[in-house]
Amino acid sequence: MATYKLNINNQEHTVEVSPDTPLLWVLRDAVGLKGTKFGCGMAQCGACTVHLNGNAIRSCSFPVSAVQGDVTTIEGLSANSDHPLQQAWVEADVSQCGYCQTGQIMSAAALLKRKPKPTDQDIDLAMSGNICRCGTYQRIKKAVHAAAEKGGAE
Amino acid sequence: MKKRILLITGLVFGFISAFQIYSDQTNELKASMERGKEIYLANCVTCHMANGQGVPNVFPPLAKSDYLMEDLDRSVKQILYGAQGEMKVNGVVYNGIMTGFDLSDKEVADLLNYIRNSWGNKGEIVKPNQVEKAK
Amino acid sequence: MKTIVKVSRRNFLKVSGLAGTGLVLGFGLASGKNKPLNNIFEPNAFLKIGSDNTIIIFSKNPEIGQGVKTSLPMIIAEELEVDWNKIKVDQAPLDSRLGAQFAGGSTAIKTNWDTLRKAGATAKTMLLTAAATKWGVDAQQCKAVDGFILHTSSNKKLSYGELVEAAAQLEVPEEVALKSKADFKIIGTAKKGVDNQGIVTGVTQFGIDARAEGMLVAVVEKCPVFGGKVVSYDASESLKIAGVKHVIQLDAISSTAGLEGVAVVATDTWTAMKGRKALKVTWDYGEGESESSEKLSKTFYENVNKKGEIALRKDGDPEMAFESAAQVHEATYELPFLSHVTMEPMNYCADVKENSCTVWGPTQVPGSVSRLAEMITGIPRENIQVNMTRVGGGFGRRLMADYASDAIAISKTIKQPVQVVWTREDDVQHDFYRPAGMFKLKGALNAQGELTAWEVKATTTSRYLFRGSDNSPHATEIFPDGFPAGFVKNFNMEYTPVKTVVPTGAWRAPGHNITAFVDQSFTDEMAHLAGKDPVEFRLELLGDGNKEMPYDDHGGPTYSTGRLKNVIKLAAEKSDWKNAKKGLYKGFAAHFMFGSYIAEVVTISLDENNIPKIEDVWAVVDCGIVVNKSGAMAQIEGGIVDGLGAAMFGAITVKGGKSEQSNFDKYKLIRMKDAPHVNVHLVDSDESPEGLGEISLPTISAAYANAIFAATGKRLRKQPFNEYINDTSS
Repeated sequence: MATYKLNINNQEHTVEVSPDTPLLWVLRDAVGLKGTKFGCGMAQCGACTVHLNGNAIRSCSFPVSAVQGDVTTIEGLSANSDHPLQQAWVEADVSQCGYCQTGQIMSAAALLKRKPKPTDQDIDLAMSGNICRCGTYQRIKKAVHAAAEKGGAE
Repeated sequence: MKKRILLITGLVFGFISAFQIYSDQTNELKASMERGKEIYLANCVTCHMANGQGVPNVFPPLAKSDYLMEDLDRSVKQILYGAQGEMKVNGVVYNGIMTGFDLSDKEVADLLNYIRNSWGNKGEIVKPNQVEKAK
Repeated sequence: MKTIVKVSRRNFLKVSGLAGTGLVLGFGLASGKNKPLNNIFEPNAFLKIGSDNTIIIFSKNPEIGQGVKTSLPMIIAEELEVDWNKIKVDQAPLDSRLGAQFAGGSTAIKTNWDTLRKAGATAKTMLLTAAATKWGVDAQQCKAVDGFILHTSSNKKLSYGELVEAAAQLEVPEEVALKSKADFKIIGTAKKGVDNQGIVTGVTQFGIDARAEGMLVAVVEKCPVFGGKVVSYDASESLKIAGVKHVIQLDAISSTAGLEGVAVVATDTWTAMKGRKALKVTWDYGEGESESSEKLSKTFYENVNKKGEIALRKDGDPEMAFESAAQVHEATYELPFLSHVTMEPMNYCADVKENSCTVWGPTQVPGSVSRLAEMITGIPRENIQVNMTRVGGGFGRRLMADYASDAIAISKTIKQPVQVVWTREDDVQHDFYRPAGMFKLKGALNAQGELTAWEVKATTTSRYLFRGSDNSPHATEIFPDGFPAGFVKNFNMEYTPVKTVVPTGAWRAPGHNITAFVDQSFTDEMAHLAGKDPVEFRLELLGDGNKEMPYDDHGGPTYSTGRLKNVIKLAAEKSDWKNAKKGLYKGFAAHFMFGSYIAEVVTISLDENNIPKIEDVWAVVDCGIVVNKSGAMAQIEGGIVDGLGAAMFGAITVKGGKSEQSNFDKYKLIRMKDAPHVNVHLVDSDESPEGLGEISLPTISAAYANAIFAATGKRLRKQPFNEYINDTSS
């Protein structure tokens, strides 16, 4: 067991966990932020995507001991739950079962930060690490474009 | 924009054929690296970090990595099929698991051109047919 | 309870919501902090109206992504005459007053349609009566609009909330008038999912997000070889890990309701996982170890090349017809096991106390969970509370409640609430897979290119055989009344079930996900052999006019050739089927299933390396009345992407009695770049609503394979396509 001070969604959290604990389980079980989902545990499906210093990372494969810098989860993506991507997702009625969607949104948010007006190909590539078994991909794409139109990079 | 300047540069000095070859190669590498960067940000940044530094003792660095630069064929295989077990990178032993990625030959070439020419690395341009052969 | 009401059973039901019996989910799972309402009108278990104008509509069935939490309440809201934006939808727990509660067989809308309309209309009628009585006017002169009762001639107006007290005094009417389709304001429109905002902000709770005071987390090691048993285990290293609380052996319930295993229970998920890694279990693999996909494939091959064990259908004289045919054609199709891989891995929570038990989590069958809880704990069902969370995907996997058994058994032993979490590896390796099988088809044409005989010799690892069910082993594997049966004079269908230790179960569009691929591919083969356009060939077979064809299976008792032809023609028209464009190749498929009709067209192009790319997909669906347009289209789009992904990439291969795949690195799912754009057309219909959640999946693999043939001349008869696309042997 070791103590870690983590900056998550601009708030400092002190957790006592074993150093090899993946950030995912620290977020879900220790901090109580359960919007970040467990899907595969090997960085293959993207359900656990969060931002570390603005880059999308898979928190299921990232040990807490390696976290340096700012972590942003779906709960901290926007101050009032109104990030352009979140709005676009609701508007395009993307979600079916909904389980993968927080991870999808976090990947999309990282994309819009570096490419405010992505092409279809940019989206395909940036979202290639996120699986949706319900098959909502086309609505996701539509929502990313819609958010980009509204200045989703913010 | 940069591409266009380079292209114009290429046209102006067009009749100096040696320069043109050099310029085409540079253009090709730059374009490939640009595509590779997107692939990197989508797939690799999660462990190797945006600056290629990896995470000390957990995920090996790509930046100035002896291990990366010494064996191109091995890199191709690792990208496509994953890697596990011990590996020594810049004198440090890592023992983790990397999963493979579903990428086309061209995408692997682009990715390799990006990581082999960023963060202080310098490597020859990699072409898709080299990837095909190394698989 | 403040209101004094007449003491009758019905009145008791009307106000029982006050005490909140079973209406608020326990363990902090309630979706909002509802203050107990002072005055509630609850004419049935489907809705509650408060004097403060709060309107809560309960969604009775599990929400697994099929959209019922939005579409079922839409039906109630329509008849209740309320503003959709002003109601609140809550997930109901398991409650016998609500009727059957499950997610399966694409049945939610069709089986609840009448009940839910009546539930809404009953409440509205009582509110109308209450207002009319208050005003001393004839109820006929009053009407319900957006949560108000209006008296048209006097412009008097009362909100539903203001009428709650009076309405609660009334007897529940036996019969009520329902709206006509022309007056629908909510049904047939596109409504967004009621949980959308919660989902995109990470607030909505799935089963895996549920927590209870003092809850521990368990992971369970099960035998990697199907059917294996625990010989012994050594937990000493596991118990050394700080946070690991218990290591306990779980007994088997049955091959479908819960396998034996060893559970590691800890304070949190990661600690439990680490504890499990340190666990040493000795297994007796048993006979299962000798099972393999290779062996099964050989058995399949033998089966389709001999007389089938079960003669399912014989029309005319097929032998004679084949002998006298101008052309005879044979083709063999093979399909692998598929895993469900719902994005939310299996998990479940249980809190077993001395005389009562509360369970909650993702399931398609809350009733089965309740039965299992009774069986495991001995607690009578009336003391078992089953709450439902949102479900991160079902696809048939969660028709089995084996993982819930784990949680119930562990909680019973440790006398504490527990959440069982399966890893993805557990999920892939202990699934109830889509059965694998082989289908040998034989067709005959006469000199005019007419189909004169059709023969199917099929073999699959029957899921009912695996289960030891009384059902015939061919049930949900193959459909003797399915197209083209009944349209070919000489017809023969034989089936041979294969018994295996590999667990099998329902996987989205069970049986159809194989038969539609096979039948619609072979129809295309025969059309090409006859030199006819595949669409014309189908229409010719279906014949003129409208016929009701007998269909003795789910979705029957009959199906209409008129409706099937209509979707075929519309799909051809919408996709511009007849007009060839350079470099674009098209494939067609159509099907009847679960009461609905579909036709699909896939257009592909080939790049410079002859790699196919899907350019567009068209789907025309007739499912009768559509409740939620957005949800319906989502199901069609998603089913197509899901079906394509499974056909292109999906395969569980068995070796040494275990699955060779255990996670998404080897069990591939379709990703964004391969997911095509889908053009959906829903047929405007006055027919009763039918099943929609599965219908778009089965045909798409055939439409795609037929497009590949159009482009390359190669038939894809073996899945996953991407593995065999360059294989020239088949």
